[in-house]
Amino acid sequence: MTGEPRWKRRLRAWNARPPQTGPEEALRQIERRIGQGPSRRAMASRRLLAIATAATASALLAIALVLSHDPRRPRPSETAAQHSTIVLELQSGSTLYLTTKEISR
Amino acid sequence: MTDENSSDLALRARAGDQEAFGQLCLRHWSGLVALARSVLIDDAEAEDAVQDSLVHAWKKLPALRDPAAFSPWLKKSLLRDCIRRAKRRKKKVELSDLEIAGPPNQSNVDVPGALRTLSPRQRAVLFLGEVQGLEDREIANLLRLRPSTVRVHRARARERLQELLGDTS
Repeated sequence: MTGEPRWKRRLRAWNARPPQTGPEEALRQIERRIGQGPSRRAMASRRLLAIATAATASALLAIALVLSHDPRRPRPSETAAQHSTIVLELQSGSTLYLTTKEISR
Repeated sequence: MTDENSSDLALRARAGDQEAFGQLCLRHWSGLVALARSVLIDDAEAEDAVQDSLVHAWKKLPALRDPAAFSPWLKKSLLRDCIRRAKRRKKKVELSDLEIAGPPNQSNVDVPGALRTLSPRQRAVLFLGEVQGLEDREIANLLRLRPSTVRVHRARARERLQELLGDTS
């Protein structure tokens, strides 16, 4: 014998068995999985993320629109016309904010 | 199959050559299954783990800086996954849990039964050291452990298997 301890010989013999699936079949399975791209679960979670992102973006846009049309929150004078608010610097030093609605009156 | 070395194949695979990657899979399949089996002690689960690791490797190959390091890179990833799977399964058993007739001795404990009394890391260290003949430093690198920790795992695992599977020549 080789002089190798019995436990080591048994361990080697147990581990020397060939895999149940041959390399060619394993490769076919791996190629199939690579070709499939992301799993169905991954695709579903990506779709959910896209929906959530779109919903969040819509909500943020709605809030931004409301805020931009709020006469109590006027924008700087250079962009005032776009936001329906006009800012007038009075000679007295105070500032007057006028919304489009107030001007039309 | 050509005689191209693994480093060249890994270089081609990294560039997206699926055929080169296929050759790497064929070359490494049996060795990787043996490695996974030593940690998981289950043939089917070991093959699943190797397939998962190879699919993962294909996706992560562009990030591999040194193609010559393909084999250790793959083994590291597989070992990490196998140890995670084995811990999730919590199949480590105590000697008293072994389904054997009478007290454990060298004739009534089989290799899988003996391996199950070790932790997944001890099994990995044992396989890499005693079957593959790697040095403690190399094992430490693969398992991200200190060499001193590897020595302790190895000594305990050897002692346990000597006790259960026989220490005579």
